[in-house]
Amino acid sequence: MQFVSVSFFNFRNLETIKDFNCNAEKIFLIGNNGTGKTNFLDVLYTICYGSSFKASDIANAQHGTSSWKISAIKHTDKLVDTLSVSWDKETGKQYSINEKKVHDRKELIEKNPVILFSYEDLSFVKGSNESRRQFLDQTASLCDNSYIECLRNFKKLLKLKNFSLKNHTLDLLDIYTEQFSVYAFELVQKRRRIITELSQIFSDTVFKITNGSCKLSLRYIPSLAEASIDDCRMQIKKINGRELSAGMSLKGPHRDKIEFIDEIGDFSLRASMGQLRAIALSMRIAQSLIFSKFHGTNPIHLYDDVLLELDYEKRIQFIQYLPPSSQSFFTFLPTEPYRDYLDKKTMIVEVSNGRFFHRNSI
Amino acid sequence: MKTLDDTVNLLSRLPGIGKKTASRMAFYILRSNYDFAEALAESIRQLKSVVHFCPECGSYTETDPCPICSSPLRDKSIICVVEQPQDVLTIEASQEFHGLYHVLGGLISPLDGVGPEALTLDLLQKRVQRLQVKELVIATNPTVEGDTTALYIKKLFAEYSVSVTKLATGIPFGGDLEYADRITLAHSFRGRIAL
Repeated sequence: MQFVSVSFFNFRNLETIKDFNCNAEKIFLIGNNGTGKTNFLDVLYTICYGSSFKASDIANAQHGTSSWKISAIKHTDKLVDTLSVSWDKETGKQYSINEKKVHDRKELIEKNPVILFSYEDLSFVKGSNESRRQFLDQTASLCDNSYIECLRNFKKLLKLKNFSLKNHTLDLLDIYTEQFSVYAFELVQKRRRIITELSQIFSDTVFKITNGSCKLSLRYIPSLAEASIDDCRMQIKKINGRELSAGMSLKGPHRDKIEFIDEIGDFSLRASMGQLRAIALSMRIAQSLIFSKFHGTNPIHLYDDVLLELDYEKRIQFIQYLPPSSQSFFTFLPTEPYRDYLDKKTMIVEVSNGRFFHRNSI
Repeated sequence: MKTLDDTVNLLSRLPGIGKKTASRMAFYILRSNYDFAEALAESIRQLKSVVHFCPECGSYTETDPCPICSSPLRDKSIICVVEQPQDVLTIEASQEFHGLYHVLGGLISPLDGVGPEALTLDLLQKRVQRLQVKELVIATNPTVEGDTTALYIKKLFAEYSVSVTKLATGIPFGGDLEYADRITLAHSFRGRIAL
């Protein structure tokens, strides 16, 4: 799968353009801060996932406008698809593939796998458990196509159960606990399966990237020990009184933890900034590799300023261990030694004030 | 043209009808003879004035009680519980079920302001006692809300001498595995039966 051209209209600071050629295996976007490099990546991300990694739908509209539209032409084997996402203040957001309306965003996710390597990735290493769960949910959704449905049902039940706990509607609480246990059990089983696969790939990757200095693995700590659905239900019923006092669910997959462990324990508590960044990059690489393993195809990669904070040696090492992708987009500042990473398959695009210009590569 | 615009606006409020289809319908009525327009208007008026909810089961009817509730041929020991009146017509079309129906008038969804008290559950309790019903078949949609409602009914009748059953879910008969959506397929696998 490869994007051959991209178009955008009224999208953030990007100047409206139609069919901008990006038909190359590697695309380097070179420009100063605030010129539109990351926004270009976000166009591709939004087309693939249906939602932006940067801003809300309304914030994506250029100042003084109330709608935007982005689209891209994609080649997969011999097939050509036109993907588009549009937003209008009145009618909301719409997705389409080959001008056919897509009703559920999950259809986009399945067909257009993309992995974003971003500076913000540090958040799931040193940040909250919620960020780590989000990473895990994203990975599982890429690999298991029934995961999103299970997660959606679980989240709905969590909301309903919390409503019941807050409003003390005890006649419904038992029922919601029963339904909650079913989806919680299923979700934890799915998460455990993905973590087992992910941990092995992550351990190998982080070991290589850090030149053997980090021997880490992932530890999944589910809030509910998942022997069976009945067991889950019993565990929740045991803390019924506490949940009613708190007015919220205190046990379940929404409280699961994921840790990066070595022989001492949670490594993220002791890691240096450089090690944290290496863990974040390794997790993304593992996410990409696990996708390839499950689907037999490689995703598209978007690299947003990920090399910026690495020293020269680590950059070269990182570039060496990049997982296979069907197409890769990188952003660079003009002062970075990006020419050292060029090859014959690279397309260089200069970015200035939301405008894009092709430059000779080698 | 105000009259034409009003008609188009009203027609476009019908489910599944957009502005274009509504315009096409309005122009068709304009082109057709007066009797057709009169019959259509009268039919819609009658629909609202004659068709009403059956006081027994809550389904649509023109008579009290509805033909199903008053039929001596129906098995009164079994009641199929559905969400809305349209579901009765769907199940009736299968000609498989010969018992009575009970329309709940919605599904439990507290986040949308629909609690159990908003449904016709007290009426259902009275019917079960009065008719000495032996089985309740819950035919709510297989959604979170549908399942919540089914479980609530099961709990409500736990003390009654009535068995509560639920429709099976799985691959449509005569259907093709190729066209089955994966969630249905996953449910079918989980609910597989011995041959």
